[in-house]
Amino acid sequence: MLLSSATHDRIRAEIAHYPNPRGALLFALHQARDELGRLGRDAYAEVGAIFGMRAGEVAEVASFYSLFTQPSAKAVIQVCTNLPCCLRGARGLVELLEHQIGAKAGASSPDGRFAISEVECLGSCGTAPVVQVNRNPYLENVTPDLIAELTASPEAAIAARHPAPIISIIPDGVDGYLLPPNGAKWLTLDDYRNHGGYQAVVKAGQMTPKDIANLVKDAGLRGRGGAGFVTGLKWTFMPPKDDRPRYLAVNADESEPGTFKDRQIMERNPHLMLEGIMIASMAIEANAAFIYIRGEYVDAYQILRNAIGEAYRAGILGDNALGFGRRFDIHIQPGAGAYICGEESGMLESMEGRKGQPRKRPPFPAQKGLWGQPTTVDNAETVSHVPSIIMRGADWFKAEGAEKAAGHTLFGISGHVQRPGVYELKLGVKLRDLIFQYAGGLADGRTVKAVIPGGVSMPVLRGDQIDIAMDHESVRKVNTLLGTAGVIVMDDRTCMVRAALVIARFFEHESCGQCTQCREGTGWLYRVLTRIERGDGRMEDLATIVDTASYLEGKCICALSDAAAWAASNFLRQFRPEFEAHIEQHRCPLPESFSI
Amino acid sequence: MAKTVHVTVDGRTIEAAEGAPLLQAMLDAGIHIPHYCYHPKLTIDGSCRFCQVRIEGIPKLQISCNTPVRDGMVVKTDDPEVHTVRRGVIELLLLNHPLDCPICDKAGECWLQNYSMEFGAREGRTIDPRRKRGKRLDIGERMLLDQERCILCRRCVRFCNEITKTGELHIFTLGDHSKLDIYDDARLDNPYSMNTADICPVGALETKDFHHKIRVWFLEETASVCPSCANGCNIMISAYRNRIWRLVPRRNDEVNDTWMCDAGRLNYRFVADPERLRAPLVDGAPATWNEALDRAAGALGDFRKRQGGSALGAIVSPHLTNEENFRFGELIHALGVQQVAMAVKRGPADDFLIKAEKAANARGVRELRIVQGDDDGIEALLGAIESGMVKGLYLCGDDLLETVPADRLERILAQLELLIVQTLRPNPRFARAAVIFPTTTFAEKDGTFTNHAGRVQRIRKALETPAGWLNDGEIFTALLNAIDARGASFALDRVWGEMARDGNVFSALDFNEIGPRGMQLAAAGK
Ligand SMILES: Cc1cc2nc3c(=O)[nH]c(=O)nc-3n(C[C@H](O)[C@H](O)[C@H](O)COP(=O)(O)O)c2cc1C
Ligand code: SF4
Ligand code: SF4
Ligand code: SF4
Ligand code: FES
Ligand code: FES
Repeated sequence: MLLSSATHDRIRAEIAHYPNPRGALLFALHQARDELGRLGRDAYAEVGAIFGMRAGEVAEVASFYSLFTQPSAKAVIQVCTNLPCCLRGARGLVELLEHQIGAKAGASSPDGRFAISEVECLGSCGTAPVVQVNRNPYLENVTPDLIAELTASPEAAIAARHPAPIISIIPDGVDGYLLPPNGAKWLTLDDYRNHGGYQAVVKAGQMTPKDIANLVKDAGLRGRGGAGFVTGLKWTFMPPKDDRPRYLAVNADESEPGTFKDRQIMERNPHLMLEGIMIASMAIEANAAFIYIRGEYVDAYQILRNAIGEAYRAGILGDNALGFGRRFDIHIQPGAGAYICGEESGMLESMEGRKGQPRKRPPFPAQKGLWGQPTTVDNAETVSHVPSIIMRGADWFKAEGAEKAAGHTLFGISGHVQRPGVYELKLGVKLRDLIFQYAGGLADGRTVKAVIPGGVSMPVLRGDQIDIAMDHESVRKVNTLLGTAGVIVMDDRTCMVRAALVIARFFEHESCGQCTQCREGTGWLYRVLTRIERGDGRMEDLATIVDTASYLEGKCICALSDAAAWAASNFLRQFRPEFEAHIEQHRCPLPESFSI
Repeated sequence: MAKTVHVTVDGRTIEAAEGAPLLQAMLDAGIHIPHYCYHPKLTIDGSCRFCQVRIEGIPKLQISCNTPVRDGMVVKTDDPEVHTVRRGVIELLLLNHPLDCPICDKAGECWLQNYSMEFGAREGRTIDPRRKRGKRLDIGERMLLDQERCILCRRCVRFCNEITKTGELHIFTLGDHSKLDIYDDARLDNPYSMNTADICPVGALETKDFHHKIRVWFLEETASVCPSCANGCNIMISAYRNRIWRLVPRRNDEVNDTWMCDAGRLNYRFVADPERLRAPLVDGAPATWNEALDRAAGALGDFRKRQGGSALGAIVSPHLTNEENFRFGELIHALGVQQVAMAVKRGPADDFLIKAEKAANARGVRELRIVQGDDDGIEALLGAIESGMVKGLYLCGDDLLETVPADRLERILAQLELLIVQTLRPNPRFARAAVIFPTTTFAEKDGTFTNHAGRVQRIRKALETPAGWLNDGEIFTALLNAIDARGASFALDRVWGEMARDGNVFSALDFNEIGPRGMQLAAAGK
């Protein structure tokens, strides 16, 4: 046996939370990797024996997840090199690290102490650049000095910077209901209860499931996970209650580059999210809710686990759950570093202990979701709006937003702004105000060249298109979408080919690989853009980009393929002369641009 | 049975079973829809995204494999977006595909090749280096894998998960790094492993047996039945220059779906065995067919006169066709034989296709009521020889050699005064035989086998026999004519006419109506 009996005990205890043991597979692999430092044949066999799986099956699942396939070293230094982090100097940090520890990214240092790994967005773009060592809390706003500290003593460097800075704010004049007051964290049950917590779930307990869903629908709450679907309406898609168990699956995978808002709720107001989960579960008559949180969010995971534990001890969850009058459970499951597990059906697959490859539809989750049972998937922020809607009503909620997009949202803003962070604001705020008023504008003398309004999956805007209202309907006027409301700002020095290339690399890296067009097309877009960026492009490559985008768009199982197509084709559409300049001059015409 | 409904495809109305996969309905109606991942005997995967069509009333294209047929559905395949799908899938798959066609076993029957001709551009526009992957990986006793050719349709993975439930194949990692492989020492060695090569739409999975043997376009295909066990899996015999190059399964949902076992697939070499008898032997020396027939007829007639028919025993072969055994039954009846038995080689079986009886037509022999008893009369016959009651034996087939212990067999054969044999290879045990006729294999004749479940299925002649050669049925017929002056012929429809008059279970069937799926004997025949 490789694994200690304590590890085996933890895995067994985790298994008890799931209707099917395999739900604990990713948890078990985390435990194994944390204990052993690496995963290999024997570990897969030992973990497999617990779950009745062959070693090969476990190895196949593990190979899908970046957290299980990192190089092995005592300290694996994972540097985020996605767009917002690159815009703020991540490449320089990688080079510095390579120099200091004497190993290239992707490899381990000769003494086995360190390995460097370039990773995709860690969901903390507001404090870019971001580094994570093993599964420790993040190092944020990382500077070259911090790199020196880190290579001297990782433990000390991490401890000195924990907990992370609070970067979410309720601006003056906003009646915030998602975030606690500026600077505060309501981590305990008492904190939350002292501020009116868990009253909404009691009130909802007096309502019928249908009334809850109708109220939330009337309020006009739209999903905050990216697609913006009307939440109350989605709840009504659940089939009539029968004797099958039914579930709420809460999406806290937060991996869309530019998006870092759910974490702020989870790390500052965990009970709000739990209360929202409870009410949503009442509406869909769920027996249990499972929160799927990205594996890198170790702090948020622990905070939520503690909050759930407290809620059980206080009788809020469990046999006679508050407001339910029956048993209701919440459990939290860790992901393991795969963006596609944020796509709702990929998430369900991952929750069941498989590779997170999205499911073909039909069947839809409401028909056949988690473990084959009727399931609703809601984003972590989405459910957090619900308690206030119950307490204050639909009209209040509608008044707190834009015409067809009610309520506040947590706008994340990153990139070339002075005060990147998360701002709780009404939907419909002007993009210009978000950038200049709330986020403090750009550095002196810099102008806005490009803005991605809602995570890298959404079509990019030019600097002259920022006089729009940030709500689901208004942004359509400039042919983009609100997405996750994670705004990435790029200044006039920024190379658009490079920006498009980083995004293409991301999709190439994160495509789950099952659909032909997405698997091959994301790779091709990445290779073609690489060549153009390097100065080896040909004019006909631009037509190839457009064609490839048309091969992907609307043709695959999930929207990752659309996102990859949109990113490449919209950068080209909006900034074509810059692409042409790269090809004609055989180099990047913007000497001061960020590096990737 | 599902209701039959109507669907319009590009203006043409087709009939289809309600709820069936639209793709299957269109294919059944002869409408050509490109697809890779869909396979009628595997769960729907929906990942190759090749089979998309436009369905009226739905804004996005739909994959037809995962669309259940509904009445009145209006489908369009001649649609600009559908053409984009087809062009896209082909162009994207070719980006990284090694152009191995000249050395790929699949060339000529490769779906990627065919679809590229049909839908692909005439010119490639990638200048980026192709992905490097494992080639000719030895992943099993009988299987090779070329990861560069794999298009990741997951058919083989589903086969191993759903059909054999052995799960040897995995797709590791993700995105365009995805790679099909086995894990560690868990090799692709299940008894059905070679089916993965059939269902692989490209040449990624190849059988070692067929590797680099011959271009498939030279092969002539003959629909037949596997001779290697009682299941009677439907097959195609692929032959060229009068030699078998491979056997592949042929779909028959009543018998073998679309699979066959590896052992059966590989059991064709005996047909071309250089040791095979090429001519009859009379007293151990090569003879002409006429000499051998004269001698056999003379010896049998003599023996009957001297000792009476009851001193003659017969062993029927479960490898011969129903027609041949019917004729054999008539022959031994004419000779007055009383002691008849059948020896059937046995081996491992499973709860899928593989049956314990390693012969294709034992059930047929039993249905003809030629043999009786739990052991098909073997003990009674052997006992009768041992006790001296039976002194002559007409032995068809070799199964006796493997079912009776060698020393007992030795004693028994030594006791015989007359031995006539029909067999594949000369064997020292038959040294005392008066006549040895070469037997004819399943691939060299027409006829029917009856499988373990009573399904009567056609076998067909795929190979020519030398001039003047007689198959087993013709030998029996010639001997019957010599002994009984019948003027019988071994033309199959004549034999079936006689079988009908005989009133046995086969009389309920019409030979000419036995289609590609065979015909079930009436339940009463059980
Ligand atoms: C590639 C991809 C990644 C996604 N990632 C996330 C994510 O990290 N978090 C999230 O809540 N939704 C994500 N979504 C959206 C989910 O599929 C789903 O729409 C959402 O969780 C539903 O919740 P909502 O209605 O509350 O927004 C993603 C979608 C796609 C296509
Ligand atoms: S579109 Fe891409 S990411 Fe989505 S299921 Fe298909 S291959 Fe996977
Ligand atoms: S080896 Fe063949 S059958 Fe298997 S996934 Fe690859 S292409 Fe498909
Ligand atoms: S199962 Fe029997 S009939 Fe089928 S292929 Fe194997 S040996 Fe032949
Ligand atoms: S945390 Fe690095 S890009 Fe989001
Ligand atoms: S055949 Fe329909 S998606 Fe592959």
